[in-house]
Amino acid sequence: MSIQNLVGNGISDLYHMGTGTLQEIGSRIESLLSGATARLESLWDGGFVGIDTANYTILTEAIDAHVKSLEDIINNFNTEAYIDGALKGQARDEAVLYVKAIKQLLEAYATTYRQFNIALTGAAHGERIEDSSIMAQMIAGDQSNAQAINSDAQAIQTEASQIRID
Amino acid sequence: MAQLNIEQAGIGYDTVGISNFLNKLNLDVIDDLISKLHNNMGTLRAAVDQVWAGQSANAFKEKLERDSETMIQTLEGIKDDVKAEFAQIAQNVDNYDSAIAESLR
Repeated sequence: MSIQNLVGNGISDLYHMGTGTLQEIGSRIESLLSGATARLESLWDGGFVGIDTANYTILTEAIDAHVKSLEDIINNFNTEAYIDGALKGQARDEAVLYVKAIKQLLEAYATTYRQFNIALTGAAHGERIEDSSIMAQMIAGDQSNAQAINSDAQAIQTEASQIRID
Repeated sequence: MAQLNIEQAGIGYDTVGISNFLNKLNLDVIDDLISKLHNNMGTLRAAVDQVWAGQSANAFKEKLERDSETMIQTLEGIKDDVKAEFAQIAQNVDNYDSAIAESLR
């Protein structure tokens, strides 16, 4: 085979250097994620019987700290520096897919536990959370806390179908 | 002899760069996430025990464990897929290089 043929054929071959097309890689990743995110997005429906309403924040703060510790890990991974310095073409696109998959997995987990914290906070105040704005208003005192909770609650109400590989 | 680097390329991979990328993704990100999921469980269970008693509390602790395990298994799956994919890329590029070299003989 001539150099010209090798180069000509190889350029397109090299663009698909891995196990398949980008769509095939994406499908494989989505299969990994779909069952997991469905399980992780299962909201807590076991109630809060037995909760210490005076000290429930010990639990909400522990959950917040736990979720944040996970988010810090992925947020500190300087994707551009590591991917762009190493890969081009489809290989780069595949690397982006893998990082995106980890972030989506983490988002499903974080959303569920943030929703748990909102529901627990409501329960501790003797209310059932039907509307995120009611939740925000219920929290007396620090206005910025109320706004943050309202924002979190609204974010949790997004469609589950948005948590998906593009 | 002119030396190509990855920044000038439209396709391909840099052997040192990809090694760094895989190390960072797998070791710093995936392994760190898995460690945190394991290590934080004790703190979370203690927090539940501190403020919550009864069947609901026990059920919630079970949910914490299940979700942590789901995360860990999925992260391990992603890690395995990344390793397999980039090993295949390395193999395919080596095969291509060998074919080029053979054609020059």
